[in-house]
Amino acid sequence: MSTNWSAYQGHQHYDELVTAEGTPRPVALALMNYLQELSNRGLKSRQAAANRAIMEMGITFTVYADGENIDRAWPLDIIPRVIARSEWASIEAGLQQRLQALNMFIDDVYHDQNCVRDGIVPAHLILSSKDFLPQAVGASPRHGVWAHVCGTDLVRDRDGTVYVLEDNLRVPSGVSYMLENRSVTKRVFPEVFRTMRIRPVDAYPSQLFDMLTSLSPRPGDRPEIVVLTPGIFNSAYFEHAFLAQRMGAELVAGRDLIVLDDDCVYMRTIEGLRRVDTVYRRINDAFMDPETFDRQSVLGTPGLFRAWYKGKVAIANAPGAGVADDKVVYSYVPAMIRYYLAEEPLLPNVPTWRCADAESMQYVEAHLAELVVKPANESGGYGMLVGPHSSRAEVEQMRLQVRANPRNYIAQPTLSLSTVPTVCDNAIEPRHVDLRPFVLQGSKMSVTAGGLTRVALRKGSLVVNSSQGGGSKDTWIVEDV
Amino acid sequence: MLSSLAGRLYWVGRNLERAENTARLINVFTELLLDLPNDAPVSWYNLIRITGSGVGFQISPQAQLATVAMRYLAGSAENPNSILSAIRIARENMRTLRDVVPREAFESVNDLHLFANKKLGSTSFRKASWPVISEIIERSQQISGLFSGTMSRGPEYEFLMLGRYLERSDMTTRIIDVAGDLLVARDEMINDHDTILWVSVLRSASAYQMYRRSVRSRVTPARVLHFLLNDLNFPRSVRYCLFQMRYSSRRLPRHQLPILAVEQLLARMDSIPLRQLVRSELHASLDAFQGDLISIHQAIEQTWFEPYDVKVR
Repeated sequence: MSTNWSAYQGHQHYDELVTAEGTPRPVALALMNYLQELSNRGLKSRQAAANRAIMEMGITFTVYADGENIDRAWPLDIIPRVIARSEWASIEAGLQQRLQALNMFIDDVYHDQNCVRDGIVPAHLILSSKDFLPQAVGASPRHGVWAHVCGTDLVRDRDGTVYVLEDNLRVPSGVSYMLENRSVTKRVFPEVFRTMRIRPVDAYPSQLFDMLTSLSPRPGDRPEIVVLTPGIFNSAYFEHAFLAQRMGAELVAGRDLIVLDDDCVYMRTIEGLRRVDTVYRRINDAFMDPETFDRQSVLGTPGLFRAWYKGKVAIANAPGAGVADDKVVYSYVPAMIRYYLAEEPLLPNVPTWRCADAESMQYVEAHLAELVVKPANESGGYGMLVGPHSSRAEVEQMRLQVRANPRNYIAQPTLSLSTVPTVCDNAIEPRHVDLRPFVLQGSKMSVTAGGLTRVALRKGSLVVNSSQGGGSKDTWIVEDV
Repeated sequence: MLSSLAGRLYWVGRNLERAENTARLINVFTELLLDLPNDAPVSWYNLIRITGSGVGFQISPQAQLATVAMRYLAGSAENPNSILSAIRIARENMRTLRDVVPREAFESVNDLHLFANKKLGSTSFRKASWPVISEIIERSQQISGLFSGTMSRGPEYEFLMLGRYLERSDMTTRIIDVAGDLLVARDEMINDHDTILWVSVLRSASAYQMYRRSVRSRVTPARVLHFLLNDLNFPRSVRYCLFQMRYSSRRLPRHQLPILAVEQLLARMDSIPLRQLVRSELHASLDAFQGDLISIHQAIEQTWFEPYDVKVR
């Protein structure tokens, strides 16, 4: 018996694979034909095979629960999300445009602040940003690039428009799961890979390596690249180890590095000290260097910031790049694109009300229960309110928080995130997804073919974060039909 | 290779060896105590001393020594030398070595930890029964086998071996030291059990069978001592362990200090006439051996694990 798709309720939102009429979208036709051939048991057994592969390959993420750190198997739903190559080409161009403008903005912030003088962004916005580093003013990282790795979250609304939800410019994670998801789906659906032309994703580690190489302060030599991790208890430790291994770079903790009087960074090896050229750090600014920032931090390396400021080592992403990761700053990105690049934004922002703005605040107060409210500087989906899914008490609680610190909040309409068919307990049901492509910028730019599709596994939920019950899907960029 | 990585491999080697040695000791001791009369001056305290865990060990007067001691040696979280603690430390270090050690070895250590935690962990632990302890030994052997059978002989492997052989030689000297103690304490009281004791000493080091094959004569204290300290072919003798450490060190960069430290102990062993040794001299010699082992450990640490303190420059 084949899987029953007639009961699939994909028409309530924009479904990535199925039209409102219940027919497969052209780009997903081959996949849907294949899936419809499978019996319910066939589908389930493939999902089970995927789960086994994930256990065997040791693909995990770490959660903190009940007072300890637990390695959980990475949740992957086997039905992929499919995007046409032509649509992806325009998204890719939009992502590149966006990161280019963001990097020009960051460089401007730490130099002449023309954007403030020309009235593009208000001065207080920068000064009050938690991630603005006064110590970084005047630094000149190579190529004028500060945010080398950007994970941009995209969502699709009911009418099919793709919006940028946020730019993650500090230490975005998830790319290893994009790569692992692909190797698992290849095992599970080899037949489909033979018939459909799906763009490969595995170039990422070498692209990352090339980008990090292009930052080295000693061009010409074979650069020494390290991945700096806060350690085994970090939720993304798996990814740190994964990327280091794929790039053939050392995975180091802060104490493996030492900065000497010559302001150069060295790592401690059994052969002695070896000079480090590029640090791909997966540790936040505040913990990076106890000499400059948090003196209590035991994770960092004293002097690392000084070495970077003097140009003796490259750090990706550069210290202070997070200034553009602020969700209030986000609302100015379209204006930045027009200002720095004299172009129209190719990818729209989600309409955003800044709570610091009196007029907007009035609107937000009046419509709080319909809106999504986010703190400017949180990640992982923490501290946010999804109005329509919240109790009255939660809404009122948020109202007080926003009033107390309006600069720290933005509000957006509650989008109807698009859905993808997902293997649930008893049937295939639509679940909401977002998409996180990764953009690299060094001497040149590159964008992953697709990215990490995150899925809210709970029915109706819009929260896709793995720390809060989210799962993931493989993302296929396929030829247009 | 990162110094910290080298250090973690070394501690994996040491802790896996420690867990296995402690398990062997528990099994041998359990049997030995059955063979000796009740008033024999041998008790679980001796075993706790061998493992160097005496400091934190406490017992209330009404508790049964055997049970408390066994729990302390096998499953106590407070005792850093207990089987469970050693396995836990090894496993914590292994977690960061997934790309370095063979995958099966990683999984086996993980499994061993789950097993030890379930069987020896304080809530479920009653009495470390012979099959459980034996399974720990078997699983440890399996992990050793995976390392030797599937791991390239690069620096990673040599650091594991340095840890293993340092721990093993340390344990062998401790066993000899306690055996010497027993000889003094027994006086004329359990003369009959002399042989049983010395056989047990050999068996604590898993050496009885190999001793028999190699020595082919009556078990005497001097021969046992000689075998455990100096036999060139038995893989748990102190000398064999030292040769292995020297061999591993030579395959690593900047090895002058550790090799010097190993040779210092070898020279000391050469200078001591085992046959004429009386109890007090034996104890002093073993103390000196232990001191030299600590020096070897420090040389390894300073050379490879923590090179260049900032102040040096």
